[in-house]
Amino acid sequence: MAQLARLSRRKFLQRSAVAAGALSVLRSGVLQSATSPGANGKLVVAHIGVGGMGMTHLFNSLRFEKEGKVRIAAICDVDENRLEAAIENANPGVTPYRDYRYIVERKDIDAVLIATPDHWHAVQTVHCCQSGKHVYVEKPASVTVREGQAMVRAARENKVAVQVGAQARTAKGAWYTCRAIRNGIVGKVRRVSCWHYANPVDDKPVPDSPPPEGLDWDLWLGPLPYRPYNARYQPANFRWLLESGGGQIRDRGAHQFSTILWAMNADHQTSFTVEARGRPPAKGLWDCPIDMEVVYQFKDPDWTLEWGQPGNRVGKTEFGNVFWGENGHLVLEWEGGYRPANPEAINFQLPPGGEEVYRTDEYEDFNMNHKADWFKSIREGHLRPAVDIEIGHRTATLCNLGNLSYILGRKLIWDGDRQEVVGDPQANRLLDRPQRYPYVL
Amino acid sequence: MSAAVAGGAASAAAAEAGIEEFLTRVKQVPETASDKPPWTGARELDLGVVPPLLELLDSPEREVARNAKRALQEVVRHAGRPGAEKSALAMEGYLVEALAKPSTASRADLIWLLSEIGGRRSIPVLTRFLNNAELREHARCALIRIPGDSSAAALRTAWNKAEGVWKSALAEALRARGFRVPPTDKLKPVAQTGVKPKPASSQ
Repeated sequence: MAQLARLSRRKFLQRSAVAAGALSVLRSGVLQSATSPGANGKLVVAHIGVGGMGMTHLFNSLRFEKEGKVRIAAICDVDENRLEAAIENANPGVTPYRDYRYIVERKDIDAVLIATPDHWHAVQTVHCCQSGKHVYVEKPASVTVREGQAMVRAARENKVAVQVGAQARTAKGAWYTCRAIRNGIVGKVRRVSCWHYANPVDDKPVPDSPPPEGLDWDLWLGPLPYRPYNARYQPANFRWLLESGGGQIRDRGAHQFSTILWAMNADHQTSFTVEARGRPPAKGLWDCPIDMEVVYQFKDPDWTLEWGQPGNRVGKTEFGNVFWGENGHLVLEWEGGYRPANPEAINFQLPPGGEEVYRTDEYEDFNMNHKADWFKSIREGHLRPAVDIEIGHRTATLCNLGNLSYILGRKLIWDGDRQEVVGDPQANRLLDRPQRYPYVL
Repeated sequence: MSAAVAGGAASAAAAEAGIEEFLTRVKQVPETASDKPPWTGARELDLGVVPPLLELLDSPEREVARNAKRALQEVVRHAGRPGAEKSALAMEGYLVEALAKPSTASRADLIWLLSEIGGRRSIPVLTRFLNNAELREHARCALIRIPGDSSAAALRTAWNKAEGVWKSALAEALRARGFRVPPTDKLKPVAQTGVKPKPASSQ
């Protein structure tokens, strides 16, 4: 099985048209072969955003630091309280920053982990790429299609590895499911459905107010249009506004869709139609739809992807996915990371001539493993981790166009080659949202 | 009165009655967020609903103002659909007229709505806002979004006259529109933290 896995990885790299053994230049000023990340084998890393998931990344880095794989040079957050807590958890020698641009300008930093709110992902990723730094950025990759395109361009032009944090693609649960589906466990799959609990509602809206002590509101807003602070907006509730978070479809959907595209071997199917409808909240600051149904139709091969809030819950947990095949169906609870795969998928034996699926397998902890996959892409020089930014952008495009169809109240025909909505100038205008200066691409 | 005229008058009366009923709903605050939204059906109404909705944007009752904003969003997005160019032009006209009036609290929202549907007629009012310290950044973004030579020309004219940070902001707008401009200070770090590094002795 290990040999089959290596062959599959080579095939993957050929398809990606990246020659193995390419030279990679690191901003630490050392020209290295593709076989090692730095003069002493260590990546110098920085963290931007140390809230919930950001602290998970920091703890991962601390573990990598103990193993001698990285050195944490800097941590940045616009909330002084969070920054202080993160610095306290880190080792001495880590520089704290409020303004991420200090990290961008440091030439000694090789790689950056970005776990800021969604609206910051593109700008910070592009700026870091442009200064030659590899990037690990949380999902969703982007909040608009044009931002995602800019991220892909920046990664390619600057020859850096950008991994999007849809970590199920390197996790066991998704891997078992992917290899089972690709090798016919339920036969040909023509429909995949997702169920997910509803978006929350804001029944206790409050007036705008000054921001809390220690929070740099201008820097938190960053590229978003200016608005006064509101306690029902920040920190975590930004997720329930269309302008900032995009709701469950962009939060969990970014995970679920990534796993589904992988299992369906459909990363190349960039054109589709999308039709969404939803029930908006009747009051409050949050405007993401409470319930939502989105249908994506792909061609060649033909299959349908359905996002349901609440959808049809076939499994046991709060959210998950069902692959409906000609010979039955397979459930994947959650997204394939935090929960194990269905026992059927785990016990599935590849048929003769079956296709093995590659997965970096260095850590049991899938958050650690996803970063190991990213390090590997840097070390080996191909710069295409498992959720390369192009894959992350395509996944985010599904989420963002789902929301756009809902906002516009109409079906959209997405031309993935031309990266535009067919015959709908207003929709195409909304593929982009100009950023607030100076936090611009 | 001819049948056609009578029919037309009846339609107009029905449309007006529909708008009145709708506005009555929009002026109410729902009990809970799970209730039926008051602005449901805004897209089906005659565009005559727009002027009263624009007035409600400045309602002192926060949730009523929010209802009006969400209704207007629905109307703008419906008016911008393919094949509805006349509606889009009419909607643009309403928004431009509203923005030309003296100060209202909701002008930033209107500028962003205009960015979704506006064309050449939007450029003069947005250009005026480039000189308004509070609204100029919103107007700059709207001019980036509205396609065509007029919006680009407005940005270029403003850039030629501007200085300092605002000149850089306009330069980035032109860059976003595909023009080559000199580098700006967008990557210059500014904000300082009060958090201190961990001392070495704490290891």
